[in-house]
Amino acid sequence: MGTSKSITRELRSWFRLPKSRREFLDRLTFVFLAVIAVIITLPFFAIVFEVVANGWILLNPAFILTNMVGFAEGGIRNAIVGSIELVAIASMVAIPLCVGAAIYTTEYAQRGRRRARRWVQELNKWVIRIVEFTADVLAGVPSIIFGAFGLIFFVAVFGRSLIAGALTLALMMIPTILRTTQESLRAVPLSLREASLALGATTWSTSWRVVLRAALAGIITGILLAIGRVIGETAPLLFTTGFNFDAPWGFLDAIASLPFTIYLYALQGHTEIIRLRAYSTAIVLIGIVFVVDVIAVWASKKVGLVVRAGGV
Amino acid sequence: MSQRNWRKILFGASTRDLVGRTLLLVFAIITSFVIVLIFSQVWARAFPAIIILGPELLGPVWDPTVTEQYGILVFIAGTLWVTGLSLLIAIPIGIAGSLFLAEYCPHRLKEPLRLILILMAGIPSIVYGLWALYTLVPFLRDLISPLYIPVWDSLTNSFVWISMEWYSGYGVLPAAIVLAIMLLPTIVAVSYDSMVMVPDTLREASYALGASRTETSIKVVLMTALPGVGAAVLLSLGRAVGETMAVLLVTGNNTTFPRWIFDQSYVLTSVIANQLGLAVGGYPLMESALFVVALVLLLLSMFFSITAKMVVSWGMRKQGLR
Amino acid sequence: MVEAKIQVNDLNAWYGDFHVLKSLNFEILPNTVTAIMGPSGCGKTTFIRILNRLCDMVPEFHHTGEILIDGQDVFGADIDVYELRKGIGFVFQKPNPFPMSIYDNVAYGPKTHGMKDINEIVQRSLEQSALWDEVGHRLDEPALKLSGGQQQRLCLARALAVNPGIILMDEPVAFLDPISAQKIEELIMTLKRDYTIVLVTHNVQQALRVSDSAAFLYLGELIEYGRTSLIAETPKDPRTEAFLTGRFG
Ligand SMILES: Nc1ncnc2c1ncn2[C@@H]1O[C@H](COP(=O)(O)OP(=O)(O)OP(=O)(O)O)[C@@H](O)[C@H]1O
Ligand SMILES: [Mg+2]
Repeated sequence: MGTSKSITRELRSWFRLPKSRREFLDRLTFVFLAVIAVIITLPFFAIVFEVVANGWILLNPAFILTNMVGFAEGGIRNAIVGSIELVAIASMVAIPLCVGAAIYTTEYAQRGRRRARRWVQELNKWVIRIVEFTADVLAGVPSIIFGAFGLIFFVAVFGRSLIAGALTLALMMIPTILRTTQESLRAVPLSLREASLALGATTWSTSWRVVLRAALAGIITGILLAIGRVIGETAPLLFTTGFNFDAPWGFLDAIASLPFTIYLYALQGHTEIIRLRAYSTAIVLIGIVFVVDVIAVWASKKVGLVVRAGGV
Repeated sequence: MSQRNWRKILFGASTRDLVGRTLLLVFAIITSFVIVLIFSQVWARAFPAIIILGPELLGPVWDPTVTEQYGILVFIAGTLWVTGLSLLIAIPIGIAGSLFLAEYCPHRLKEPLRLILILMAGIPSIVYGLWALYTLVPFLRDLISPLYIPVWDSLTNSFVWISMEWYSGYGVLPAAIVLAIMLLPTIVAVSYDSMVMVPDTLREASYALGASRTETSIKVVLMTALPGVGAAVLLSLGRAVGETMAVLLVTGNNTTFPRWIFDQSYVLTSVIANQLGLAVGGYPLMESALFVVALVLLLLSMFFSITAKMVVSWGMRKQGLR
Repeated sequence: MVEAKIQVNDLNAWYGDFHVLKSLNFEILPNTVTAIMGPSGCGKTTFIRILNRLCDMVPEFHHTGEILIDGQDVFGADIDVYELRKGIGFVFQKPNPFPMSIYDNVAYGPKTHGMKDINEIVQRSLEQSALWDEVGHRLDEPALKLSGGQQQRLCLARALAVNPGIILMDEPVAFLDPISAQKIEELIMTLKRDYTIVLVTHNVQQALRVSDSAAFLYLGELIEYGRTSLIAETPKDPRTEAFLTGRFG
């Protein structure tokens, strides 16, 4: 694919003199672009190195398994559990919503279009268009706007709480899950549905039983990508969760989270202990995100979905 | 009517189909409704300030406590500086990087590189912010403080050498750098995708005419992929304007107009992050003014998302692909 | 005795372990049309892609033997591939104009090689490929807006624009309607005066109409090579005969 070569062929071509000025220019371009590629990835290693080199000092089982005591002491269990609670609840809200919407737009509105009545067809066409358009727009909305919205909409009802934060995060998960699910549902071969329909299934049960199972790996990829994205989000939680040195399960309790904790550390100033604790917390957060992302990429390979840096 | 029949009507396949379908339609409507809800809520909260303050909102001074002036221009200027500089860094590098990945990178290295980009995009912005705060800012301070930098002096109409001893490390520069780092994976990935879509037959046609690898990748691949690259730029522009946490910690959050990259600044997202929590307590006008800022952000992000789509379809039409 | 334009000496080619071309030996004279025939998958495309080194694009490709063009080995250590390709036009099976304007398509090659008088070259090439009358007045329209047959002639014009000595065509009419196909065939006959043409084709009738000599490949081996009319009348090998009578298709 492309004009890329195998490593050996690329190397071999470098061991002879260029035969023309243009071939020489080719090599210059190669070196130039390769240097740029290194420059692009360098910050990744720099940041991961920086975080790990500073953060591993404090990292031990106690740090993960005990709650914070003030900001400078104890572990970060409350933040870890809080993050998990937030994302778990957000997922439970967002997943059925998005998968349902995706099923409607791909299975009923699109595939089932031919048999339906005229105005239903028109309506469905618009539903697809609107759902996809709004999902794309939503994907571009800055995270701080979700925070502000959560503050006036969810906090107004629930106060700064687990549920307010989780619902705010759920909104942010919509575009990723919706679009990935749509994509993987569309990738399910038509023959599978037809086989099921031939056996007397209505569209409803076809969707559930056959298609969903075939698209499952793709849907899981989307869910994991969405989780990987929102678990690191701070801005939507700034005004919605409050903070807590414990990790209660009450929906209406204030709750801590990993990214918010890091933010608070960053605000605390520059004492050495705070700096180290911030980095240790960052290790845990990055670790979770990387594991989730790697699993998502791996799952996407299974179903031939292409995961791209930067989401949908 | 036997009981059996009733059961069939109530729980039979076609009823289940109808109920299921309606439920799914409701889900679909809810997901679309979210953006409408967000927009209307933000609009409703911003409305009082727009009515009460009117053009004052575009004033240069933001001082909610003493003089109660709510000019958001300083934040717009800050955002322009930070995103402008970051894109200046990120766009050329990102396009070059995607060209490398698509056209030059040996096969075996492609997947690892792509994985690094995915992980890079996965690093939470607060961690980027932390790194910028603890590493980049001191680094820039120590790097630049000893320097003397030529600056155009409008009084004498000549360059004067300005000592950078006072440079704190905070401001437009570190924010733009960390933002550029965060944008690069997206720019590279999106442009790479559109370069990979360029059919090999076009590359072959170019080679068959005796074009070199460089000429082929720039004149054919890059040019054909240009709409996608344009979309990548617009998408990253939207991200840059909306990025909060990484920028928040390093711009210095100073409500003065930045004049150059070593000045401190205050961007649109930061003022919401810093002040909204307070304002919602009992400063209704300030809260409303902050929602004007939110409205500006929301409109900008929608504008970029939509133009990104339009650029792609415009480019394809121009090339005759559609 | 005319000097051979292309001389193939004991050429073997592989994709990885797969032996595609097996000890080919033959020569092609200048200003002739040579048809390469054979059943699908016998290595026709591979062969002509070796002539201009497009085979370099396939990572697992390797070869032995030599191909001399004007006495120079195309795989020679001192060959400049870009110059080599400049001297060899290539028309692909499927029309593949660049997604640019008609003008830019034709001007691409000349501009790349820093040639002068681009406007004249563009006009000359379009005239040579019998396209000038149809598109001369709308050169800045996107090339992809043209019909399939026009696109293919544009690709021919694009190839002619760099003044190649040889033109390679890989089933250039496979995707075209009969009338467009006929136009291309007519072009081939006129171009023969100035160029050496190697034409891959499935179509025996077409080979008979336009080619002077023909090569018949079967599973990578050269079964038969000679004057087209001779091969058509008295094939020496039963497999050639089977192909000519349409048993391989
Ligand atoms: N890039 C490649 N990698 C591996 N094998 C290849 C590659 N390209 C072609 N082949 C194999 O080499 C053989 C010859 O292919 P080639 O394209 O030269 O056939 P052809 O004679 O042009 O066939 P057709 O008439 O169908 O175009 C085929 O069996 C094909 O599968
Ligand atoms: Mg072929």
